[in-house]
Amino acid sequence: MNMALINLSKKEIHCKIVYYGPGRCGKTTNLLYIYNAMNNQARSKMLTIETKGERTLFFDLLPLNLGKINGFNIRIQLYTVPGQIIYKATRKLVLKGVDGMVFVADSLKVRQGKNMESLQDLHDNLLDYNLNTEEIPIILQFNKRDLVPTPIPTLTKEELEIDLNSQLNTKVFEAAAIKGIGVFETLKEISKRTIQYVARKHLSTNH
Amino acid sequence: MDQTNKNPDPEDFARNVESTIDELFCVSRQIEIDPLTNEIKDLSQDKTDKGQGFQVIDQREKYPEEIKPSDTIETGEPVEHIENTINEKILESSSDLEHEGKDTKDVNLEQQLSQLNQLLLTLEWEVDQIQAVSAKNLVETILKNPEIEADKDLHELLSLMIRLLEGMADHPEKMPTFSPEVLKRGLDTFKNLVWNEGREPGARKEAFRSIKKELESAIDMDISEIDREISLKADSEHHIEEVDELESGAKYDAQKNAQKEKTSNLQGHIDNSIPETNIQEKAASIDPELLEHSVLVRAVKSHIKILDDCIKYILPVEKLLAQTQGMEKLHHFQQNIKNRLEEQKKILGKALKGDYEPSSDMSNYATQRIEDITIEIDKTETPPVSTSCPWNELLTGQWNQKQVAFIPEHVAFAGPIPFWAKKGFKNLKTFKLKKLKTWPWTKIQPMMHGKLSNRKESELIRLEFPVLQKSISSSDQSQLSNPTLLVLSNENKGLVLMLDTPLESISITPEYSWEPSTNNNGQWVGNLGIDNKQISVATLESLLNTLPNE
Repeated sequence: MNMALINLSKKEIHCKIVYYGPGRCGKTTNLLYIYNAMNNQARSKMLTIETKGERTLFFDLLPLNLGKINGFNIRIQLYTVPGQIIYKATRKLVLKGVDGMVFVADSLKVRQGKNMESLQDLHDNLLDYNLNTEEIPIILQFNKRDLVPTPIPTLTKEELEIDLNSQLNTKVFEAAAIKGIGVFETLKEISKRTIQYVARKHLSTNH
Repeated sequence: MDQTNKNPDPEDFARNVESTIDELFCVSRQIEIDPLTNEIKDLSQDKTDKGQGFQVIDQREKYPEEIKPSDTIETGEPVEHIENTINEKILESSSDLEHEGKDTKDVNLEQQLSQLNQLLLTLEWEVDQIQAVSAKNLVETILKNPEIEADKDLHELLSLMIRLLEGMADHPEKMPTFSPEVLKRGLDTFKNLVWNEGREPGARKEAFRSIKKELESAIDMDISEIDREISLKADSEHHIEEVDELESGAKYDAQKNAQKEKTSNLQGHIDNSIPETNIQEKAASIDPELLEHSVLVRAVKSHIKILDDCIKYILPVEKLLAQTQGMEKLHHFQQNIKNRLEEQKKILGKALKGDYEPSSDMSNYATQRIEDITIEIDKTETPPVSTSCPWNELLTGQWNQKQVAFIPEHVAFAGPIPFWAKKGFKNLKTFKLKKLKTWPWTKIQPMMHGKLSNRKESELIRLEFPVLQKSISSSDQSQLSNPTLLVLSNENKGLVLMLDTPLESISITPEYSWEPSTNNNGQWVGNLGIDNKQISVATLESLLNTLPNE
């Protein structure tokens, strides 16, 4: 069950988008980039609780405000989850009520297994909430593509597609979050998909 | 749009949302983020000078609604100069590096250091033998750089890192948890020493001393435990050899002295020096004993403790074997081992008090051992079967309208069946384990328990076990709220069945009554009873007995 907060009397719609992925893949970097590069008008303060080693301990939260559209105040809340294996319960908690997801994959070859583990973890958590990845909007971001020309071993786009997109068959964005490449493209796509999904599901039933 | 409508038209709404998103969600200033420190670099301010003038945003804000509304940049947070790290340089394109006119050697070193940084980050995440070896090899490669090799401090720093990585590769489970962080700091210090040659010598020395201390303490903690174990083992082996040598040495000395006395007597010049020599020789032979006595005592005490531990491990197994039907041979074998260990313990205890007598059956050990293995138990002398349940814990579930218990060691998998495998299950004669995959790239191995969890993925996906269907066909699968697929496995045998409920663990307390089955070929090995409820206990073998032969 999705949990977009829709208050028809107050004409508010709040959607939750979660950035998921293995540890150190760039989830927090995505939000940091959005927070720092975006116009103040659309964004609120970013909440981030991190460990000493710049790892997300609980979650990051970045509220974005689309303002009033068709009489409705639309707010999108971007969340990230901690990627480390030990925070499985926290990830599940943060996923509760999700309306849209971005799966951020790490292009480093050494992280290939972790990408797939994390996707499986996402799938398991969604099942626990009786959510299906076929229903809920999800897109993929292949991050750290800036490392491809360096000597550091990286996965090709095709390899990442095979690993992660053979069943999802969803849109993929190549990114280098530290430079902002692909970050806003990803954000726009998932935001549109999520709002469309929420609007179709909730506004059409009440129409 | 019809303003009297409570809700907007979804299509129109979505269109408006999309255009708003396109308008609002865009870059208003060019920035870059440092991947290690998350510090923000404003590119619009820093077009000409790449290395200076970073603005630091404090990311530790906790309550977005409560703090001041304006951005920290705008309120003029202090600007700090952040050292331009090697990693930032690597993340720029290689063409930029060329344009800056860097030396090829420097570029190679930068790339190596960047690669090392990634490996250390991976180790920080999870200590893996392969990564540790890769990191170690890379550090060794960097060390071969003539300029680095020539610098004593840099050479020493990298050598310490190599040692720590070696320890990590050999015994990843014994390394202190802060070792990867120390290695990371070592790398950072190395970079600073290499790239900031203009630094004050005093500051340089201090930085080097500090990291050297950290690395050494990590190495000491990492390796000392392993060394201690190895040396304890080696010491005790060495001491046993010394005991033998001393015994034979003492005998030899005694013989030698006796011979010398004889010779001197025969020759007729009994010189005071000879008895003195004898005494001196005896004293010389005694002195090593005295010196090593305390070491031997420690070794013997350590052995007694180890024997004690071994006996403690054997006791519960022996008890279980005594109660398990068909385990008589093994029980006798275990008992024999236990008795021998107890005897050795007594002998060593006596030896500590100066009364050493080797075990009388040592020479016949091999023969005795063969006898143990081939010994035949007279069936009439079989100890009576215990009336208590042989297992302390069982897993129960509903199957075929009965409450059934299974042995935990036989349960390889118990969980919901993937939907594509559910269809037609009741008509299946065999079940392929690869059907347990929820997604094509899911691995089965992590799902397995017991012995199957030690098998390779490639073996598991080829396994196929017979299905034991319920005999009572009235229970419709679709009506079950929580059907559980159960895979039992032991040695090379396996069986699959569908339970009506998930498994629950029960501890067999004395309140349970136990009635072993009289039929050796039946489906159940016995029945547990408690509070007027009955639970039939099955093993893999007993269930396999009931499969129809084809």
